[in-house]
Amino acid sequence: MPKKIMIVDDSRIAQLQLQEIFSDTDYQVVACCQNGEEALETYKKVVPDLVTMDIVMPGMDGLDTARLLLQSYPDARVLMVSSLAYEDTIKEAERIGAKGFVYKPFDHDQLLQAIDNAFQK
Amino acid sequence: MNLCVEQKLQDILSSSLQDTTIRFAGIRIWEDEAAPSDDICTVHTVLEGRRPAALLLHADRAFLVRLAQAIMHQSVLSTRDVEDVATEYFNIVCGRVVAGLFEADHVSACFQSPCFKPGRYLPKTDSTCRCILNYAGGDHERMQLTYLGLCANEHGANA
Repeated sequence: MPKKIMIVDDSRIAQLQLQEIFSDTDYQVVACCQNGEEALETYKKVVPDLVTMDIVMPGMDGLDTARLLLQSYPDARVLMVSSLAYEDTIKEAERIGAKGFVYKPFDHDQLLQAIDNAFQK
Repeated sequence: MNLCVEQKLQDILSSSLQDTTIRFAGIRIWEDEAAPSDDICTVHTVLEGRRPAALLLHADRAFLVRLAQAIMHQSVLSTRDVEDVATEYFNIVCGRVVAGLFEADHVSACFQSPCFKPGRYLPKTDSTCRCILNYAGGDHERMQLTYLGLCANEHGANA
């Protein structure tokens, strides 16, 4: 059975790029959310196996969203996928409990490797 | 801004824009003295933190169309496609700039989601420092990256 992926990113282009990468894999995109509030609501409904989480979004940012999500669902797998990638944000993501950090612009192999790693943690 | 700091800032801006353009879309750009034409668009955001700043990209529409074609793998695109690609591209540039600034002086920052505007937009603000760099990606594909240091309580770029 394909593993279910939920994409959280306010950029339609990033969503399309991620969907394209997942299209020829065993992963199935079950939801796309444009902001943190929508992500928290949608997670309850679709219970994905992994969430890809952008950081810079209108309203609640991706780090706060991941924090709230992991407080409510400690078994959730969150992979940060963001352009805001430097020591502070990477350490904060680790501290919150994210399973990895992929820098934008991502490429096909780099992203799938990070997802494989996230499932092994 | 002293010369050393100004040069460092220029280096960060320049490498962020050039590296992102090649990695995001496979398009090489180079520093060039000419400014963009009249048919331009603006993508902009505000860097927030101890050193707030407005960051703006003024680019020829022809460059943004080529960027979108490279990302969408299509030659015919909607206006929305071009705007959305430009916004995501600039989002990545801003992330690289923030990371570069952190590496240089360990000051954390974040930024708002970039906004797209047709035409040339400049915030009405008194900047504490200003850095403007010009690039070209081909004929009629000029762009200008502008960094405007803002006073600590000023966020005029989205006004």
